[in-house]
Amino acid sequence: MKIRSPRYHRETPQRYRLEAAKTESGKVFFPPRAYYPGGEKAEPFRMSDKGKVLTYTVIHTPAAEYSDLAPFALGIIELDGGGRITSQIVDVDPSKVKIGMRVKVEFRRIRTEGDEGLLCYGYKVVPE
Amino acid sequence: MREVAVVGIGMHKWGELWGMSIRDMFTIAARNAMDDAGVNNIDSMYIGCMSGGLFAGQEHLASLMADYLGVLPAAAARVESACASAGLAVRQGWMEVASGISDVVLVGGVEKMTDITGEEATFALSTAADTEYEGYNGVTFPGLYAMMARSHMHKYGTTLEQLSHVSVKNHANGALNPEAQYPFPVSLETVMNSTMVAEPLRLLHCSPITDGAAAVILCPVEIAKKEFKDHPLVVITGSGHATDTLALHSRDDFTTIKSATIAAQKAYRMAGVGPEDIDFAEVHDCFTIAEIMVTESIGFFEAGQGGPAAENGITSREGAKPINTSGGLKSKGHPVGATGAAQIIEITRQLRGEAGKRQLDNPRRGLAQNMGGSGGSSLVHILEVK
Repeated sequence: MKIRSPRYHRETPQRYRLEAAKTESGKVFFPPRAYYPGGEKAEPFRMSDKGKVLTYTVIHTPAAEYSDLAPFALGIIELDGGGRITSQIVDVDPSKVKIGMRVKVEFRRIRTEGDEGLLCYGYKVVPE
Repeated sequence: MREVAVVGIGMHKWGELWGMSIRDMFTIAARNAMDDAGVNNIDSMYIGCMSGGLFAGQEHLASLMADYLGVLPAAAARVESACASAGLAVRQGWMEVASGISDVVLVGGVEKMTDITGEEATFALSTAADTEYEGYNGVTFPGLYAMMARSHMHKYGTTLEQLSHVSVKNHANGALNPEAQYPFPVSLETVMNSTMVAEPLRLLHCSPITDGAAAVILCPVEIAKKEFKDHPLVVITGSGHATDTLALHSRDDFTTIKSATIAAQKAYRMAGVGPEDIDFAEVHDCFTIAEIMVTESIGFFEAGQGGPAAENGITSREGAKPINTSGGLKSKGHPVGATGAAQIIEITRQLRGEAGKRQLDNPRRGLAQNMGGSGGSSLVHILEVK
């Protein structure tokens, strides 16, 4: 009953290159939207690959595709210069993760799907 | 616009109901509501359900339920706003009656959640978050609320004890509700030592997986006064609905539920009241931190004071602002698509004086707040007994 990643996933720039958009008033949207509040215009914006942990948790009971990883740390990361992502925090003892911790975004395998074991990639963060 | 009354309420004992199908549960709850109102037919109905497909392999619920309820060819629609689906159904029905299009409308919800494994249910629920930018990276719903809890604790000094007191209080209330899934008290120690789910939230900080349905009958006040005189007249005096980003990371502040604030403001304005005028409330305690955040977001307490309010008994049945007298999602259970209607039922029961052992002392005005996902949608209704 699992739903696989849609086929357009591998064509989504945001998954690999942190491509966001910045509006005229300076707000960063990740991923970019087709339309912005108040009719503002926005320009493509490449987010930094460095930032800090705004909040985090350690997940002990994940969905099935992630059960091999549990327990794993996961947080909301504010990237330097604007923009936020939700990401696993890896290569660190989950009990050592703290609010404000500096992290760096890396290209990682996220999960395997289906009987064929299709590999799916994306971003995770590691201590800077 | 016509004033709208609640003239019938119905649910059933919630729990892990392995012997009951999605149609069985909704039909029983809906029939109970129709019997409570004393009606044999309805003009239309709205059914809240988050994911009949993922949980029970059944969509197109509106026609199915109209058939099994014996009300064909009444107009029927299934509405979805994740865990706020039934709150949305209430609002849709309220609008239809208020507008004059229909007179007798059934609104309610259903979810059949325990026929799949826990991991599958975790996945199904995670689709209420942003699947591509949250779920794909491994987020679960406990994980999202855990991150909100962590922010709230960091910003306001909210403690794990305060989070746990919400669970103790709601279980104490639910112990007096024969329809609750887990109608028993729990101790602070039990809550704080329960299995870890998503740090800092433990199992007893989380609402359960539940099978259940709930239904409510609405009609214009003018008709209720003439034809539905068996119960005290309960009127919906305010309705508010608002949305926010699906992804938690897209919000400026993780310690407040903005959609609840805006929905509440709309409902207060319509009812001509403020948070201080509300005698009691059912709020969406899908996780104990959610109750704390929502009671702040809808103006019951200052930001950061929701935790102390729970700890100091202000939100208990004997307190100044009783919250979740039904047991809340925590103890009563949380069949996600049905919860919003069950909240309306508890408010109505208290206003009618039919809440049994958990009855409050003569309440006049109650509020129900139902939300979807991590706060991407919120519905608030204010009910008064006339």
